[in-house]
Amino acid sequence: MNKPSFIQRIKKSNIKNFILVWLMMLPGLTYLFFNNFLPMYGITIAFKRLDFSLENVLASPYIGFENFEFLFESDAILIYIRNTVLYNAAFIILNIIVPVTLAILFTSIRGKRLKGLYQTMILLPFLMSWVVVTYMAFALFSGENGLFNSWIVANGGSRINFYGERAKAFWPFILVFFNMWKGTGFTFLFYYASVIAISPNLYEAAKLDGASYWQQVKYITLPSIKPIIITMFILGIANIFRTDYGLFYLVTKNSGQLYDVTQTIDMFVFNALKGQGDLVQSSAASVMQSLVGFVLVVSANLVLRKVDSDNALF
Amino acid sequence: MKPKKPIYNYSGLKNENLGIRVVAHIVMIISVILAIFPFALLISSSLTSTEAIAIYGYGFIPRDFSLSAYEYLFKAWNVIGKAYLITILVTVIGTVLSMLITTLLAFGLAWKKTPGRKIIMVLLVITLLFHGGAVSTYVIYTNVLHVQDTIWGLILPGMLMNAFSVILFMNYFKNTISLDLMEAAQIDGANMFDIYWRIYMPLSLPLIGTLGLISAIGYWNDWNNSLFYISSSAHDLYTIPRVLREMQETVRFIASYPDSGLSGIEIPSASVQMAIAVIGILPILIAYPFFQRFFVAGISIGGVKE
Repeated sequence: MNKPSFIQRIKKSNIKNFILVWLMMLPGLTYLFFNNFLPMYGITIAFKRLDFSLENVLASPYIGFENFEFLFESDAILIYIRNTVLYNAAFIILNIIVPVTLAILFTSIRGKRLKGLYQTMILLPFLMSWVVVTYMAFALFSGENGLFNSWIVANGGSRINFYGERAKAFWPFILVFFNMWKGTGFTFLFYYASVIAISPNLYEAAKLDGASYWQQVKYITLPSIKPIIITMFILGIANIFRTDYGLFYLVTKNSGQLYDVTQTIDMFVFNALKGQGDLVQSSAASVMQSLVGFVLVVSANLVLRKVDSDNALF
Repeated sequence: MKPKKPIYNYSGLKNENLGIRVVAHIVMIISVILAIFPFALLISSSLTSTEAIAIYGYGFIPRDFSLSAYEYLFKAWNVIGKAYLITILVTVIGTVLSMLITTLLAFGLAWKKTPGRKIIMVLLVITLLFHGGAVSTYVIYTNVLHVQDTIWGLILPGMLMNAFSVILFMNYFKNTISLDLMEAAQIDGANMFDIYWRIYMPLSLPLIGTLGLISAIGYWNDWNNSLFYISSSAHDLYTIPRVLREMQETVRFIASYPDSGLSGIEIPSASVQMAIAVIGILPILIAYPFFQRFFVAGISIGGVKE
């Protein structure tokens, strides 16, 4: 009979495919396990009093939140937290305003080749490594023959050691500039793609109703890209305790004198890992970053659900 | 095929007002200047003689044109060349492996019948929200996986696969590739791997290209993994970014190599340092015009909410 053997064939081929697909997914799943989930377990380190005399350090005894107390006692860590949050707040806001403005303005430019040229140039910094940026910054700020110092001296001033204590006030601006410099090319393209995807019919209809350019922007363009902006905003908030090592560690040359304005939580953790600080403290700080980030993203999403549920992430 | 939302190559938001267009051009030109001037600085400094830098400082135009920095690099090719090789190796292996395991996982998740699919999706999203943290990750990679001072320490941590790419591919597989193809192939007796390799992969080339490019650039520029997992005793595994960084820390870095082919006295000068940086970005600069359009198109695929 044909029917049973057909079904049997289907079942057999299905099982074969299930196994095959699972084997295919295995490398990815294994990687997720080791790279993402196992470190989550490693968070427990922050809650233990590490006893290196034990054969398995991870079996050290639990001591609750004791390791976290320093976070609230030490002044230094408060400064690092302040720096992290303030910089990220500036980044989040600027990384939305600037690229969106550029994207909207960009639509007014005629000429494909010119547009292509602009896009190419603006995207270039994105492809660079922070290490290379460090050299560029050094060429600008070097105490001996940096570009700025050359100008200052040529105009009769005295040299500024940008990497030293006196120059602290410059660095928030320098760091924000380089963050924008490197990132805007990419985010601009991202937003521009969204702006382009808006159906021209909407604009036609609006023009028939007599809408001006600014009205079109306000009532059509901006609302249409709102979902993307909100997503980027939430992602920014979720990462508000995290910073890009390259920017804060390399570009500043890890100059200790500038720590008050440049040191972030990540830097503190990194320096500790490289042997210059307390491993336990850094692990506690690292855990705090993850926990706070998680709480923030879930809260932000809950708030968003109440306000504008279409755009919530989940 | 499901009808796709079209991407227009012009915006309906046309402005006839000359004023706005002028403003737009001015803003763009300023942005471009801001974006480019550091490159000009870097390149010109690498083409200046060291004496000129000491006297006149870094500038946009080489005061005393000289290729001495690059001559020095040629002599030190032992060190630079090895770093270049390692960087290329890591980039190629990393990108290829990354694309493979990402698409394999995404394929499994895109198939409706995969057992356990929903649980895996949840796990995937969790990795987006919650992170083990730098210390924890470091401990795992060193104490459990022992990748320190191996080439895997440069390839595996962090960058091999991320949930974003998996989700992008999964959506692409589900929405852009017709299910009919899979069903037809199954009737022809193809197994899932054949379907993946012979149907889905070729059809996904645009996305593979874009995400692969981003991955490759990430590997090429990465210094994080190097700093974390490669100790100074393993300088055979230094990548270009690491070499650049070490040079900042220790001016005598290159010359202090026992087999560097240089006498210990020749210290890489300022212009040499700039030249190494230029060499580090050269491949990207050269390849850029070729892949730029592709890259821009790819971002459009990812950026538009379907």
